[in-house]
Amino acid sequence: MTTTQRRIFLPLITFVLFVALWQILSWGLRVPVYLMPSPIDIFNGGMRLGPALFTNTGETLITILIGFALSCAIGIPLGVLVSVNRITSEAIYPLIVFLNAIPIVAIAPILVVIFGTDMVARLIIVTLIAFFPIMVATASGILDTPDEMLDLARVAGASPLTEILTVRLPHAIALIFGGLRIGVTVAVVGAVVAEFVNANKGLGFLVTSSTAQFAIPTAMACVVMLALISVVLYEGVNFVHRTFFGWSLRQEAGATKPPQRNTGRLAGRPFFVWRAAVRRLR
Amino acid sequence: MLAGLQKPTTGDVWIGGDKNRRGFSEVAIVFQRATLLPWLTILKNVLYPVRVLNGRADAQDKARALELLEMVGLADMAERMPHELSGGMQQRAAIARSLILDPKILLMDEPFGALDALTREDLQLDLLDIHARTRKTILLVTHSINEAVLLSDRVAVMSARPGRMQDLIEIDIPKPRSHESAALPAFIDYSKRIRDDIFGPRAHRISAS
Repeated sequence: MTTTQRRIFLPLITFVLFVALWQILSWGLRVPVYLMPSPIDIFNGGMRLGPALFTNTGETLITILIGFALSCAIGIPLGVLVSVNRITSEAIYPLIVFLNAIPIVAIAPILVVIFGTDMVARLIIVTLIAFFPIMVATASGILDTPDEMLDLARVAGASPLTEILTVRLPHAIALIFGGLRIGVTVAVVGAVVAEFVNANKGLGFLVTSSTAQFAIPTAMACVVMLALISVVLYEGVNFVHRTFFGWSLRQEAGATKPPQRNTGRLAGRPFFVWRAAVRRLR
Repeated sequence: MLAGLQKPTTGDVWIGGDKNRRGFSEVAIVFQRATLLPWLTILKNVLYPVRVLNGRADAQDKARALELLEMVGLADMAERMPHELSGGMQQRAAIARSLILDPKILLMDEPFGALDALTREDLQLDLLDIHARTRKTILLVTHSINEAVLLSDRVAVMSARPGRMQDLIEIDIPKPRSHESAALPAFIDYSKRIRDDIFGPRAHRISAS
């Protein structure tokens, strides 16, 4: 068995075994469906929804995708803005940290009151939660640019803008995609929260409405669908990264210093990563 | 300061009656590491100073870049990415890049310092060839006495603290030079003089204290 085959089959076997074990335990322990439905129950629950499952998935997907696009459109320029200039960084970063510190679940109902129950409120909620990791990743990437490259740009006579466009941003790509990976998964969370509080369609709405009627298998089918969306979008970001920015996957191998990056820490405590990065800037 | 990376505390730096820097057409630089941009092909890396200065590179620039790559022996590597090249080849590409805008002065900051000894000898000879062909003014910083004597017409010995020019030596060794020049008596004399410049006073200071 080749490595590629193993990489496909091993997880698949684990997954099938997990589902099978779940099914067997449900039968063996006679767990009531309304407490914990078995995989077959969930499948049937999904079938009961029929095409509605897919139209609602589409609704949620549109919210996620537009919201994520907005997050990129806001997060990346904002990341550049707070990282290239100490004045802008000191002026607006605390505000952004404050905005990010607001629990999204708490503010979601208020946003619905302000912006109404249409798409706008949902998009704002998704964007509010997803732009932050993207912004922090962009800022870290911009600040991570090796001094030698900046020297090169400066000796070549680059203006600050040229320097950002030709050196800093390309160098930041690897880290930006780290932020996009986090951003796209939290965008799914944001969309569901938004649909919890205000929607008459979408998977989040189906979860709440089904649960209210104790149709747990149906709700679980929607949850499975959400997980699938999350995985597919995550892999989609990976795919774009590999296809169009393949060089950044092996940035260490070039003439640059090996970037000290730690996307895990970036995910958990962006603020501290930010402080460290700013200290390097000074 | 010469490259415009640092501002002098007092005074100006004048190059050919001019104190403004206009990118690589004025002063070009080769760093210790090649510092190629990993997202550009070798050809585009060589053209980078042109892009910065003019916004874009035309066919003429491209032809010149290929010519320079030919000169440093990388003609067939133009469309490769930097990580596909060895350290020595990357440094050759960096040298080609430094020459793209025909600079008045070429700065080399320990350009072979990060290379292994054999590659280093190879590139030293290449640099002598390039110099013979282009007749550029090259300012090369090195920690190798041998390299300094082999490559230079003039060696300025710098003291560490304070950073001052300590000695200026005209190297009168016939060209073309090769690594065999190192066996010439004159070569050995020059090396000895530089070594004395660097270590002599320090040894003296220690015994006096």
